[in-house]
Amino acid sequence: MNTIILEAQALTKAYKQTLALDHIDLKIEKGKIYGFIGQNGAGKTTFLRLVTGLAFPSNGTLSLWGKSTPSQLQEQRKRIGCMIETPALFPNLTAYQNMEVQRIQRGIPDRAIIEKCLHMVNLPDTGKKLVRNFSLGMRQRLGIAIALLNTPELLILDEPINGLDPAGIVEIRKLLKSLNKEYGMTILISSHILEELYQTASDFILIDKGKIIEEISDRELNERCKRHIAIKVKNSERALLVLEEELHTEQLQLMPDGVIRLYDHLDDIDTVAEVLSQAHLLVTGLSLSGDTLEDYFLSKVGGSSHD
Amino acid sequence: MINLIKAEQYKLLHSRCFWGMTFGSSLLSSILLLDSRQLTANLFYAALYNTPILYFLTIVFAAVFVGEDFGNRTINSLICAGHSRSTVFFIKGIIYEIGSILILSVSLLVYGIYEMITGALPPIQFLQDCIMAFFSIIAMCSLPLLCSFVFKDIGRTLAVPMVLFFVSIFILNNDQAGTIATILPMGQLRLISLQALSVSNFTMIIIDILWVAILSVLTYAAFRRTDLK
Repeated sequence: MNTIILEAQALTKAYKQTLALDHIDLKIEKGKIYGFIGQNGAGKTTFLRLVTGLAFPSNGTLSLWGKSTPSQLQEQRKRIGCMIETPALFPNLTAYQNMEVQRIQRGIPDRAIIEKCLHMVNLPDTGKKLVRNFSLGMRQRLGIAIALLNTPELLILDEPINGLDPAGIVEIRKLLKSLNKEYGMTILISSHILEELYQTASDFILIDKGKIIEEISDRELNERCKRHIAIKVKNSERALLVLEEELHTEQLQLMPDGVIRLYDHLDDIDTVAEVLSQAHLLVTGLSLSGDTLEDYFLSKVGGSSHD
Repeated sequence: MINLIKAEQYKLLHSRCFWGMTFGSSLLSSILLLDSRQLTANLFYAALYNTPILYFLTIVFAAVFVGEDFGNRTINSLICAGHSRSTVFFIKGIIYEIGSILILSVSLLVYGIYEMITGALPPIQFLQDCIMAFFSIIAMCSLPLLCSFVFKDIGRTLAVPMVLFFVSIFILNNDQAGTIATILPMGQLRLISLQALSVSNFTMIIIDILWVAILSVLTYAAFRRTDLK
């Protein structure tokens, strides 16, 4: 059984006239990357603020690593790294000095971790440039570096790719995946860019009007969205056999129009192309098809997105 | 708690704004001596006489050191890192008060030591007045701290204490200023500088401690259960 590191039971947050979170029941398991999806005002950030101690629940319980009293929660938060909404930075200090303040307040003895984290987010050489002169993307990278400073067991990122250029988005995606793989880091990301979230997360939490409407794994999502790699090839029948044999999968289907649908290896389209190429099969088309996460989300919330 | 003290100290020492204000305060105090020198017994008291006018610098410092931290959500990062709100409030308050004392007291110490060396100010008197001024400054600076924790931004943290600063100056120019000056920390500093305190030193310190206690309780109450952005 997987370890539960975060559990919410009937977690509710009410403001004067609004119910921001309505009896949320949620479990976050160790070692997974969760995508937190919802429209503006759905309650994503409110939930993250409750988890990180920035706000207090009106009702319900929250537990981190099985601990749920206020003092225990506070202690457990030392195991979390987070960036909620915008990076928390001192504008009149340099990137290194910002990291140094956070390193000191967290009581991390090793100074070398600063350079390591700045390298991880590809922000190593900003020298004496003050953070107030940083671009949005640079601030975002620095915010992520700060969140990684304590090598957290749970990393919470709220809109981490805001302001990043396409290359930056790919870098951060790779970074998050490698952190998850190497350190077994559990990651909870909220983002409006659903296609990006789809490529990063292994599990998805759909929230709407303060309620969790669905928790779904990427495998289940792919099944429901009928996500597949559509392969157009000269010799379909031979290609089918090659794919079955080389990719060790039976999750494929030959359609009447000669297109092969591969329901497996969706993250690994390069390997599929390589296998076909090595078998000297002429590929005329190779693409990811099916409903997108966005389509699925919109069908679930039953309306158009606000974003 | 020690880590938090070290982090805030690092931030204070790397704050150009803090050093600028400390230097500016010393410079302004020296310029203002031209006026206050005739009203007081020596340079130390003349500098002390001007301290209430320099109060506005600590208001700016509160806005920059605490208010801006709320604006930039850097206080939030301390909570997220597992520090309790009471610790954050306590350390933030202590470091702000230390910074404010430094901003206001550099010229006081320089002129006090100079007057001691020249024999115009007995060391015991200097020490006694420094202690009194220390308590008054702490009490005086508790108000901007309260405003920064209540308003959680730069603008109102700057505006509200600044208005109260001018109101206090107006009140202290009133005919019944003597009684009010004994109660208000700004007025106490003026009374010490003119050597015209109508209450005992002990009473004055108790009044200051009461100010600090009341304002600190209000500040912590505003921060303890509030939701942060």
